[in-house]
Amino acid sequence: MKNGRVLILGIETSCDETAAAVVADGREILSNVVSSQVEIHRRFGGVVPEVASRKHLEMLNPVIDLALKGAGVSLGDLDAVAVTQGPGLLGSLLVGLMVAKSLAFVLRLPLIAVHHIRAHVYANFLAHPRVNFPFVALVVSGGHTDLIYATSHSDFRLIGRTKDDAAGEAFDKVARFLGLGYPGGPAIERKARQGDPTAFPLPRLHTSGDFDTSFSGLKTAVIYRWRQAQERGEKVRVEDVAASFQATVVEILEEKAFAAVRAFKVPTLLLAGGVAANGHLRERFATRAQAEGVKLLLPPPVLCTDNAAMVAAAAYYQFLRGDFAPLTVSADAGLPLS
Amino acid sequence: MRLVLGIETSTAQALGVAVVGEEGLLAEATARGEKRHAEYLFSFIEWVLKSAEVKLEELSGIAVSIGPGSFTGIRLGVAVAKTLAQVLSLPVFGVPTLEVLALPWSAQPLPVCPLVPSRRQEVFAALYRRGELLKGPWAASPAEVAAELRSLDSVLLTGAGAGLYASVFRELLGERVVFPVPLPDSPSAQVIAFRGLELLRQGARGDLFELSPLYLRPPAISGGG
Ligand SMILES: [Zn+2]
Repeated sequence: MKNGRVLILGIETSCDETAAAVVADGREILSNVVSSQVEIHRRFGGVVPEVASRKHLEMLNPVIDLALKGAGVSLGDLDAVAVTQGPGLLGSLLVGLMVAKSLAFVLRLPLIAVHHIRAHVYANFLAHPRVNFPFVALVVSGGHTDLIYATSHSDFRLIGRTKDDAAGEAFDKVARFLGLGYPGGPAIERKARQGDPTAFPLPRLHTSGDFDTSFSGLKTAVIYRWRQAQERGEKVRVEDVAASFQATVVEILEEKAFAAVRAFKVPTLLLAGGVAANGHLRERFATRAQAEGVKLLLPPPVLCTDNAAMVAAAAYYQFLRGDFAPLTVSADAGLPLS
Repeated sequence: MRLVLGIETSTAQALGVAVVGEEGLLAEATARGEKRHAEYLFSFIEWVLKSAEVKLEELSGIAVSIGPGSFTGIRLGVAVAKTLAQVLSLPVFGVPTLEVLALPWSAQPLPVCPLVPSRRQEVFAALYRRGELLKGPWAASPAEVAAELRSLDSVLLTGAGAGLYASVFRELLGERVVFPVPLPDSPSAQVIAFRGLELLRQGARGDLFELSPLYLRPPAISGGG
């Protein structure tokens, strides 16, 4: 603590956002810079790993420069450097990791290796003045659909995950099928606003006893039903398909998340990840939480998608307990949560 | 006194770090194996600086090989070189990997063709004479590179690709190909650092925001599905 508070530089390059941020005491965002590659990957209809890695290398140093300037902080003021170690795209993770190691090496600062999914959860610690343990957290993004039960900063347990596609991935695939473009989440949400979710019925959720989810069957059902309707000459509106698909995904997530809240008898449910920026999902969860007397916490959309402020926030609690990484640490594309 | 740190991670053949000064090499560390580049690079930098009794703050510049070679390997070195330059406010120089392999042969008259193995049975190659690039660089099959060299009376092949495809080149070019003995197969961090020192003496700017890798191949677009 060089300035009476802990200043951490966070770095995030696990997928297609090149990001750096400076956060004070794990709570106050001094800067949060994200350089998005969405436009570059759009023409490929998804993230191309080698393209992403190349772009990270090009953008990361200027992004860090901007983050420091934006925060009004010089390198000498920092107390630690934090970086996403995994999970994510290996080549992309490595760029962030090597840059973070270089900073820690020259500045003789502790290096903090952060789990990407944990970091998503910590977006809530930035957004809300108090987050009390224990809680259940649902992290939904293009790469993950994870349900987590946490009792303290050092005890996060994965209790459920997707058996096939992540929720965001299902959005991308269905959007591509419907010709709505990439990324699929925002595209489907836009169309769904003018659609009727009951006009294109999709199979109901088969609730298994666990907290795992599955979306590939739903995606197949959309494609099958669409083709069936075409063959029969039925008139199907893309808006209705989008609305129905979105409602079903949200319903699956809602059932699993609230079942976990009941099973683990926690008062609080946290949402995080890119899909948590979906307006319909936010509304549905808010309504359900109110009905069930559950405290629902979700970050603003800008902290739902990948960013480095959440990495610095998660790192703050690792800093407090001296959980530092050596400079020999490797990136891990499949890093487990605990 | 000018001091330059050289970093080599661009191929699977070597992880290398060296510090050179006006009077010559001060320290160098090299090991084989790409898998460990990300893990051991900073241990190597630390050891080399300590052995050379050089503090980070005393460096005058950074030099790094920029490929062609392993995409991931190139990025590791370039990311580190750029960031060290950014934090220490130093010039940073990128040296093409094929040039690194050719430079040790600059004092002799034969043209030199350094060869770095690529994926899919191909090589990265170029033709140099006395340190000057004459032709290339190419990403091609050994046979295609041999065709480019056919008009020469004599050519010296070097780098890991020369060892790997020696029989192909002997078959296609016969007596015209010369292999150094022993065959040096890895780009040397020392050569990179000396090249950086030379660029520094010439007053090159070495802007970190202008440093970019030489991939020589577009990214494979297979992951978009
Ligand atoms: Zn994410």
